[in-house]
Amino acid sequence: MSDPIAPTTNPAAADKVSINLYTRNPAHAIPQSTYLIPADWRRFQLSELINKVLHTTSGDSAESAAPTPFDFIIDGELLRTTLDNWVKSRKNGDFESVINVEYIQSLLPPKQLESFPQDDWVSAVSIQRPGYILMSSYLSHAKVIPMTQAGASATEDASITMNLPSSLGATCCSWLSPSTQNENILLGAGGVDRQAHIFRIPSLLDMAAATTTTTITPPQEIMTLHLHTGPISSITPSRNYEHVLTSSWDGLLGIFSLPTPSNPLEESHDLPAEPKSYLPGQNSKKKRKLAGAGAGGGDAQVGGWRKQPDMVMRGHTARIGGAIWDKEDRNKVWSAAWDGSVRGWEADLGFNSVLKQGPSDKAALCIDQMTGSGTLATGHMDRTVCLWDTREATSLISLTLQTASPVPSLRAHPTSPYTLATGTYSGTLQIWDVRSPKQALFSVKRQQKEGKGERVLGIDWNGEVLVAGGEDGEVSVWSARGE
Amino acid sequence: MPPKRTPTASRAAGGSKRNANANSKANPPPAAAAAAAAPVSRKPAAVKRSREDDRDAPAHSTEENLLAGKINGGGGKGKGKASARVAEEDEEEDQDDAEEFEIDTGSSNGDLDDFLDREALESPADDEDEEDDDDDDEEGYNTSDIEAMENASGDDEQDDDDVDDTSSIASSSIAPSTVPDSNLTLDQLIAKHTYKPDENMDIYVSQATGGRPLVGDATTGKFSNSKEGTGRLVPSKFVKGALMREYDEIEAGYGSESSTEENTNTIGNVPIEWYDDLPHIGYDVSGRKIMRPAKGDELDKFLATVEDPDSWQVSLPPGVCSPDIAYKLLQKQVQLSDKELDIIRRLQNAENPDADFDPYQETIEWFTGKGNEMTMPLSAAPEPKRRFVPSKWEHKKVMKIVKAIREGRIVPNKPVVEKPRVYGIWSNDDMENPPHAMYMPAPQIPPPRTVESYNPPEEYLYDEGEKREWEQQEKEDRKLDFMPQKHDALRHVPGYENFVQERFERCLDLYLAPRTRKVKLNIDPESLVPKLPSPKELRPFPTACAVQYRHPANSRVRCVSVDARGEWVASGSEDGIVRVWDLGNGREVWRWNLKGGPVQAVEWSPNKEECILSAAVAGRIYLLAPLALISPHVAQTTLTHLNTAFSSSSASTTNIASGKPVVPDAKWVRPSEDERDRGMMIIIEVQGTPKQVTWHRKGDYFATVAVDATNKSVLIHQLSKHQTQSPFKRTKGAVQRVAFHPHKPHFFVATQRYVRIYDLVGQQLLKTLMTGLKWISSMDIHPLGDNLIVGSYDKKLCWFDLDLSTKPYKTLR
Repeated sequence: MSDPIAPTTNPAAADKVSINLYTRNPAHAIPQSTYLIPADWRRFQLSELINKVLHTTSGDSAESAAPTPFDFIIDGELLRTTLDNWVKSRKNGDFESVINVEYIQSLLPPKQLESFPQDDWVSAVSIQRPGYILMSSYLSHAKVIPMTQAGASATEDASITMNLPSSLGATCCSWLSPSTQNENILLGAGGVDRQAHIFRIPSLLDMAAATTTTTITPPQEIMTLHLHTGPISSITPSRNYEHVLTSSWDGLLGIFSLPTPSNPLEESHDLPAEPKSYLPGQNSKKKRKLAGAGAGGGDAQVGGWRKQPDMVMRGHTARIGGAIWDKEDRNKVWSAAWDGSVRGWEADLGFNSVLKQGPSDKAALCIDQMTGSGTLATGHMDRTVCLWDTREATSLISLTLQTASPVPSLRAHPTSPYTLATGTYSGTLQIWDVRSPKQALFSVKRQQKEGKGERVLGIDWNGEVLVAGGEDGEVSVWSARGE
Repeated sequence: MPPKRTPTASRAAGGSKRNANANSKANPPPAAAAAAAAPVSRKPAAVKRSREDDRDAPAHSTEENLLAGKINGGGGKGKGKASARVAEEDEEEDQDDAEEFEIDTGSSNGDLDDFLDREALESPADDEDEEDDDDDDEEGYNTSDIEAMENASGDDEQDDDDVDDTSSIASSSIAPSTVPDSNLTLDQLIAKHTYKPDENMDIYVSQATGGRPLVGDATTGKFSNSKEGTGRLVPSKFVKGALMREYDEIEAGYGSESSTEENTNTIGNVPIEWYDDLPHIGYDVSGRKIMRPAKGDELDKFLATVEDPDSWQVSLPPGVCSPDIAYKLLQKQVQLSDKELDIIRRLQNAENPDADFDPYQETIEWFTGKGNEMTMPLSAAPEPKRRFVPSKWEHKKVMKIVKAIREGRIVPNKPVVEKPRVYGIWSNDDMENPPHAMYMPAPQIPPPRTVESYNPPEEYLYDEGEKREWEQQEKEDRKLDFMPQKHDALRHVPGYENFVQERFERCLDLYLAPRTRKVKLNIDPESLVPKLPSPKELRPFPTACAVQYRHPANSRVRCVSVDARGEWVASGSEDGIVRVWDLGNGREVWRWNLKGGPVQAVEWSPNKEECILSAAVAGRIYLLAPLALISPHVAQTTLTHLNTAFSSSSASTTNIASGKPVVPDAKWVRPSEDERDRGMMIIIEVQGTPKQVTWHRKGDYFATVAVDATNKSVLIHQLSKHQTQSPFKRTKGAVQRVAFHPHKPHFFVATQRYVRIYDLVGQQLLKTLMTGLKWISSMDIHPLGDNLIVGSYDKKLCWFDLDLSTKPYKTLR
């Protein structure tokens, strides 16, 4: 093993460090051994070493394949300096003991690709459908922006805007149709007005074409989901897109049916309209006249069909920060709330099966599930990201990632069980690797504009592209790979 | 001759023995002057003998001289004896004496006598030597001899005193010069010892007058040369025919008593003032008048002090030091020398006054240390036989035991046979009660009182009226269940007739009355007081800003309030706008422009079923409800609560101008429809500028404080009736803050320095809390209503426990 090292050894380096190199990725595994490494090596030399070892073990010539860059994690911390420095600063110069070094495939730092300025705060973004960005705004609308639009057709706004009936603002949005479905695409947005609104877009391709033909079938609100008595905090489709899960400030979770080809929309109100009479001024003649006119035009024009939930899940004692469907169990729903608890629910029974009560002052703002391990990641008001092990019913927080400010939004990598992206109130976007919990892999700060806040309110990440929207009214697109 | 014999011991013993003998034989007249003539008792025969003992003579000569003088003083008693015949007789007598003593001691100390006898046999000395030995032996071991010595000591001391002058002087100053002159022999000593005081004086006198000088003649075998010197021999005045030596005046050294007093005033211890009128101040030893010394006036004194550098040493104040007496008696100034001053200083320091005294001088080892070890045993007697021969008596005793064992009367190592335990067959009464966990001893009978005495004081006895009353009373009503009786003596006390009855009742009590064990909790009251958590345990502090609620840059926020459900934050700013924010992300979701100047206070109603926000601007209080934000149910409740009074009041609810229930303290106004559309529900017009709005827990009442509204500064408003009342006609001091008790009808009013608690139902002041603060700025009550904290502008925090005193439980800074 020492043969490949010998030529690169700097004779001037007096100190040597013995390290154990290991990885969790079997594709990059090298034989287990303790290596004696010159102390002045950096990440680059270590990466070269591993590449050489990989090539020699696989029998390829070193020239045949491009080298894979690696990052090295020691004690949960990325190696950013020489081994020498690391040992001196962290181990008080203890060169004797063997250091365990984990290596992971290196990632490029996020790079901003595009930016879509908006008129008001962006509350949430979603890129679950490739090529399009769905965003909700406190201007009380949801918007679909084609990602290819940037620059080329700046003059022509190809985005589709769906207005919510009230002007209080939209807080969340989500695609509610599978990305393979190209017609009658459903998407949902929740608002401060305590209702979730389901819109239907006839065809996105049409709209892309419509930029030239200008014959757009306007998107239509087909359903209004009535359950909550507080603003909606999240709206999430189930994995088969048959149901939608909403959570709200009032501590309720609701599951509503979505119209599918097999189960078409019932065009009827499930429940009567909310009483408006209590609002002052409703009995004025002018309003009454307007309302009457609206009512005559048909209910669907003003709002969707009022639907009530298939299932209501009660249990949280405070505002629910977010709710998701389990990535493996179809019937499982996870929610995290401001009371510091993370709860698991049986969606078909509405039964609270798991209760993980963390510290009550640990208000959870958002939740997502890591792929593979099933670990839940929650972003908290107290500037932490917590990982909750779901495999053991009794365990609580298994890992805590310290951030600089509250984490209102996070997204786990769709395939990797280790990485996740967070957006924080301080305006930074961070890529985390749970193997390096002390330090984020990358932390980039969004450019702050004059007179506008820096808070990031919503992000989405599909492993390649990271989209973030926030207080500055801008949807920024970053290229950020995770592994 | 035993070699170890200290000369002093032999002298004392010999002397005392002689004394004893002398006392027993005669009672000679004391004569001090005769001592001087004592050495005349010399015998020519003794001279020859003395040469044999010459070897130890030089060392002992002075001692022997002294001894001789003493013995002569004691034993001789002034009788000069010089004839050889007498000496021989003396020798015989001495031997007799010794024999007598042998008889004396033989009974008491056989061993020793044996030993001495043997010693005497061993020594090849002649008779006289032997006698001498006997003499010496006797003194060391014969107790009767010691007794005799002690008996004689009284006389001896007197005699010693008599000769002291001469002998001490002789020994100290004169004797050393004559040490080599040592024709003093043991024989002489013996001769001297053995002269008898009752020998007739005639011989002595005849010899003395025979022109042969006995003293001072070396050839006569001088006994002592202590009296040699410059003294002149003169016939004694007191003793007829005796010679007396007169000496020159001796110059007294410093150590002598008379050295410091030259001319002693002999008036004794009388006040010197008695001589104030006389020219003299007393008399000296010879009776001559001591004239008063010349005394300078004050001026002289002053001049003396100026001129004389030693003046400070003069005339120490009386009582400070010893010259005091001389100063007073001689009426003159005493000049203290340096040496005297040094002595005074030493005395003051409690040191030895002698400057030459060396407290740490080296020890002179006379009898111990190197070279002085005692090489010989104290006694040369052989070990007595009984020390190494087994005791016959013990043998007898042991054989007795052996015999007993053989005969079987004594069985060695016999096991101890336990006596059979005695117990009652029919009951367990005689068994001890095992200590039971619930064992309860019977309560003790109270100790007898004075009234129960058989002989109580009179005041305890009943008079006729009391007796009658006692007899008429029922048995249960009587204070005492007996009548106090007085008996002279205990034997007059008759048998107590109720004894059996009382015992029975007591037994009945013990049997019937249930007794319970009273468990006394021994708890330290301090431990019940909850400990204050250390500030570190109160984490997490809000250490970092989580959410900012960003207002326009040109406005200052005056007040903030979070609603009861924790969802919305209301803020009032100086631009007169009340904003409602999303607590979680700082998004402004609603606003009201009150257009009334700076918003002084905003406060949400604590009722969770309603959503009412009160905001105060100058002269007005607004009741606001963000109806669009809240659920229909809550909105309905809120509206009902707010508008009930409008609908029930006779005044039109639609007419703004007249739509007010007229109340003296405030005017409740219904805003216009547009304003109500925005959620501005009620306007209350009040006097002054309300600075604080505080709600009662149930959300129906709220109180406002407007400092500038004089006596209407504190107003309590009731929402459901649209009523406002001023609870205080006049307030003491400027009210800073008010607060409602969470569940009692109490009202807290904080003025600048005090917090007063009023009962709203009883309309009275309950308590005044002394805060000790300079100027109260804020106040809050614990939700449970037991604790109150008060903050002040001087950066202090007072914590009151309302159950405790009116003083702060704790003051934090």
